Amino acid sequence: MWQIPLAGRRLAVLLVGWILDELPTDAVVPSGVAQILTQSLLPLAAAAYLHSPLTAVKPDQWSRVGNSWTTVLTRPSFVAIGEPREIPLVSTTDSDAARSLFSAGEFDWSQQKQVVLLTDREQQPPALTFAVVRDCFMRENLEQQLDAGEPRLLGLLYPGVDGDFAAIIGSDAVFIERVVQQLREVCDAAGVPCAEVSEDEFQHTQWVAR
Amino acid sequence: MIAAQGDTPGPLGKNDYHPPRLLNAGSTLSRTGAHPNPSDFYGSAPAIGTGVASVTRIPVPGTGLFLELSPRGWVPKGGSTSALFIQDDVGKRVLRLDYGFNKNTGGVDYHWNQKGTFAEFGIADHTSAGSAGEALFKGAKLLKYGGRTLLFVGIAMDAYSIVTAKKKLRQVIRVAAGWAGAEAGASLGGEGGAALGTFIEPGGGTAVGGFAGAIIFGVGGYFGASWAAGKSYDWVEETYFEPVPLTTRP
Repeated sequence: MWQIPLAGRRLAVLLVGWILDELPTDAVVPSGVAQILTQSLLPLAAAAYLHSPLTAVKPDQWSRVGNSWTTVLTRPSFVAIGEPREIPLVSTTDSDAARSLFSAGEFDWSQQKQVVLLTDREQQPPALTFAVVRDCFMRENLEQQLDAGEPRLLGLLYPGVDGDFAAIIGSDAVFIERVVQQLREVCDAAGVPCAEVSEDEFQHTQWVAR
Repeated sequence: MIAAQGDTPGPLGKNDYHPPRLLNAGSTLSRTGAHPNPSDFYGSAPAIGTGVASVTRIPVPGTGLFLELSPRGWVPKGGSTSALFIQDDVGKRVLRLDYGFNKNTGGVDYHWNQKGTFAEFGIADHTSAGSAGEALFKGAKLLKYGGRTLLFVGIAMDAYSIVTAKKKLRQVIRVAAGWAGAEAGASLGGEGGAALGTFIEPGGGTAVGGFAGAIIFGVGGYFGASWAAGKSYDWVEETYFEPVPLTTRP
């Protein structure tokens, strides 16, 4: 129903939704929501996400652009039908810069064409490979990537159905707990009510408060 | 009239003449071009015309958008939950007919999702599509997968028609022209249909008109181009140049 990668036994999932007074005409993540999400996640991890177009980047080499790093990962020589030759990637620890993940050109959040890899903040830029990003985007081998991947992924952020929800998948429950705590603090600071509910309650939530 | 039935002219080379099967003793031979060519087979036109329509990017006039049955760009495994897309080159601006959870209604239904196309179609994100949307969604799914199947059927039929043709070059030319005609017809007919459909009902009408136009003109394009190519070939083949006796300059 939420169109998110199902958690394996060893993975934890946090589904985040936001209630709006009215739905926007266009499919966008409201700027306030984008701000709360990035301010909650970026203190815990660096965010690496797809973004286009990128300019002045060298293939498979990270370049520093302002507070962020950019690269274009190139596909190994094997041919894979339906997959791109290159993946343009941005990595940042800056929560303001990270808001661009919700408006990343052709990697449209509302069409679920986005994935955010949450990596160690102390290891910037992350040593991500085409295969790792590809698997995470395709929602394949997630346990393997989160469990034993190199560099170690702390978690993944995915758009839910129509981009109206966000799913955070953690390598363990501890990381998810830290995200929840961070979300509460950021919401409190912004004066936005925040509640933790069961999936059943979540399903029956009225998301548009008319 | 008795026509020359020898080894030349014609593309088949020597020993290409085969007498008509029902040639009775005493009957008069006629020119082969005067009868319908037995290899003039148009049975693949509906399959190919429909198949081509299902994979053609149909321009929607005045919008910079295209009507398609698949999303643009890289999509996660499992694909999209949408069946119909009116989108730009990279899928950044898009109006799509989706089936799934609708935040607006709180349930699972058929609805429109859009980004950057409201000015063209007047349809807001998460607008319920109702029963007409359901029919359109299912029709689009059917066209997507049925069209691709028909495409393979058409390829097989055309390949068979070439293999079994008496004049293989002629049939190759007819088939090639037919495919080109189907592609051009689907694109142009789809564009016209989309314009008409948008005038009647932006969004759903655009899709119905676009695909109806693409199928009709795709089939017609195949038939027409194939027929014209066959006629052209026959005309060229039956054009003889008789040698003129040399004379001295006056």
